[in-house]
Amino acid sequence: MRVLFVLMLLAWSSLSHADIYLESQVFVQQQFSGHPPQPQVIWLNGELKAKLAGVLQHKYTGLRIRYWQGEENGLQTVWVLNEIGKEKNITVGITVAQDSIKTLQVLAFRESRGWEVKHGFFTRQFVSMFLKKDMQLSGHIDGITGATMSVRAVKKLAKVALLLHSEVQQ
Amino acid sequence: MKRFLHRAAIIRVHRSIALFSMLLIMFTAITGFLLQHAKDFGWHQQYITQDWMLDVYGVKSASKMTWSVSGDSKRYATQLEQRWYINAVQLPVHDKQLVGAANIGSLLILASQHQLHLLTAELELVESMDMSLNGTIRGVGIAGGVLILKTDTSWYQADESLLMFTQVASPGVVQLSSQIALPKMYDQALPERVTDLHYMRFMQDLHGGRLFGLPHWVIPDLTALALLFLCVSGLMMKWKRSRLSV
Repeated sequence: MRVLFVLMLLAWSSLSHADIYLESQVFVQQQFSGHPPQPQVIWLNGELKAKLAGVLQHKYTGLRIRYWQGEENGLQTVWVLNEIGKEKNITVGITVAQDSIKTLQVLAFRESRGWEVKHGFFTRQFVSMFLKKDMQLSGHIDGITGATMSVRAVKKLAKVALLLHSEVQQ
Repeated sequence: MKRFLHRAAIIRVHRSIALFSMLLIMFTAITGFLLQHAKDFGWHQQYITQDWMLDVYGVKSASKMTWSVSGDSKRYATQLEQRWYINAVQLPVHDKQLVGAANIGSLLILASQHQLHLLTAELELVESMDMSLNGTIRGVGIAGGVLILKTDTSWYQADESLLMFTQVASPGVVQLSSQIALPKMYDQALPERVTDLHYMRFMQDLHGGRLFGLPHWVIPDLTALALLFLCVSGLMMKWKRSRLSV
């Protein structure tokens, strides 16, 4: 009975607390083989904010976004972005090289449902995707039953990273 | 004649139920319509502020903590639950424990235990930064015009663009943000009670009968039963009428 109680408590706590799978700093270090460059920022002007709002389907609050840019894989940029799934932020680390996604990893998940998006079987689908002219991803992403909003949030962030990458390359 | 009486009885019951349930159906229909369009009205983003609504949800007075803003003696950073204010203006920031604030150049920096929020002088959010420092942030201040963060174990110094934070052994004389009393004029302007509940949630609860105890709880059930009955009795009346006319 006690074991059952402890298990229930553990299950409950896993549902109700933020799960940080990987510190953003560690993710950035991994993308640059342990030697990350200094962070840079892209300032958001009205035009870029409008594009972001189009992708996110809501206004982006903030005037600048940090990123890391290095010579690996041509010229790669690394982004750590947040988007609300249903009620709370999902933090995703995305590496873009040669205008397509090289790595996408869920770094922190704070919602009570939809955590399945952290799994590799889902995030691997984004690899090699690029942004088409109509601001859609180049391929289809299979959804996850019961994680619709989290899937949607991660897809939005993938598009945002690709969009911002193209902006900083110009 | 028996058939006619039977139909008349159905009509009487149909009318009685219709009359009795009219207000219930109107209530459910109106609240349902408003709920359907709540996002169009922006109710999914507007917090409940009316006292009587806060009473319904049993919202108590919020605990208030105010911090001085290092480098700006005319501004005060206040936390009410998870809402942050500068003087009496609410910030576009939603975070837990405020630990201090500082003003560097044209940027206002507010710190929680794990994040920094940068705002313009006009209080527009520039960036919210997740901080991966050694220990949680315990204080924020200025030393020689440079932003300083104090954690459990270390001091950190920010670079000019507030992008890099370097651990320093001794930051020199730091003007740390400290907890103070909020001046009365701002204190009076701040709400006594705050909640994260939106008007959309209120509409959901009003429509779903979850606000005013048992009488409210049975309204959706009674409405549903009345509508079902009216549909069935209406069909029966129609059927009997067509049989009579044959």
